[in-house]
Amino acid sequence: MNTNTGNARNELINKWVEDFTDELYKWALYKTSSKEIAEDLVQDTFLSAFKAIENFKGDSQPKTWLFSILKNKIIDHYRKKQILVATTNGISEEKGLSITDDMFNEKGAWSNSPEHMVWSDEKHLLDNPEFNSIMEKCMDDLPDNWKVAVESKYLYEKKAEIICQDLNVTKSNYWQIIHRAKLLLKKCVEMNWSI
Amino acid sequence: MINCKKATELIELQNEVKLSFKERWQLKIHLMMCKVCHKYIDQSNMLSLFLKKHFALYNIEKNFKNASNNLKQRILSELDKIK
Repeated sequence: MNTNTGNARNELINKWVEDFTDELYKWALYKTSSKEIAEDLVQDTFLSAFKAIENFKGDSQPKTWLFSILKNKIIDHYRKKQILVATTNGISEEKGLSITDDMFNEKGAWSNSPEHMVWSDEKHLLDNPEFNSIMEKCMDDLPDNWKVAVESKYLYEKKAEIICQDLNVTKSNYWQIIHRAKLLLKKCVEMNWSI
Repeated sequence: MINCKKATELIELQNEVKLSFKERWQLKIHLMMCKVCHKYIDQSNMLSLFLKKHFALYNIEKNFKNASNNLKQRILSELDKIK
């Protein structure tokens, strides 16, 4: 390897560490709920990325590439522990679309209009452990792409423009995704509510 | 006239952008007649509150910035070992 490419690689990886550690770390914290594990996995991610930097073609964003490495590390970590990881639980986007389509009839009116009882005690809903655990499960069920959109919006509090770039979708696509994700969460929580 | 599906879309959208004059009217008229969509506003807000709360844990971590900076230093020095 000539020294120039070597230097360029070194500078590139250092820049990525500066630019992306915050987000990778936040995401890993969220997925693992453990500071130590999250830190180890993020460190491993950069070490692996550096070793494989030749494979980075530049046709995806570096961040997307780093996130995909981290995601695999998290899956591996859980596989070792024999625990299923949330990142792979999402339903397909088609299924998400068809479930939310079915919430309306052919004229676009609600197909099931009586208000579900889950919403009747609205004020105390967020303090209700049952509601919270159902919502956690429903979050996991979201199609992967929708989950990323929701996470970007509410976890990173990112601007719509940035999220659209990350997901490579148009703004109106992004709004559709948020709309559908909200509908799916509503449907899911109503279906799972048992009290 | 817009239907409920479109109305819920506008309800979500108005959190993000300013609706056009026409859209605001369409939504207003729909909401005057449709109790279910009116309820949807509260439900949607409740879901947003949950999502904010759900993720807040990871945002308000006071030492996050520090921890992340320490992590960066640690990674950079690990990288130096293999460069």
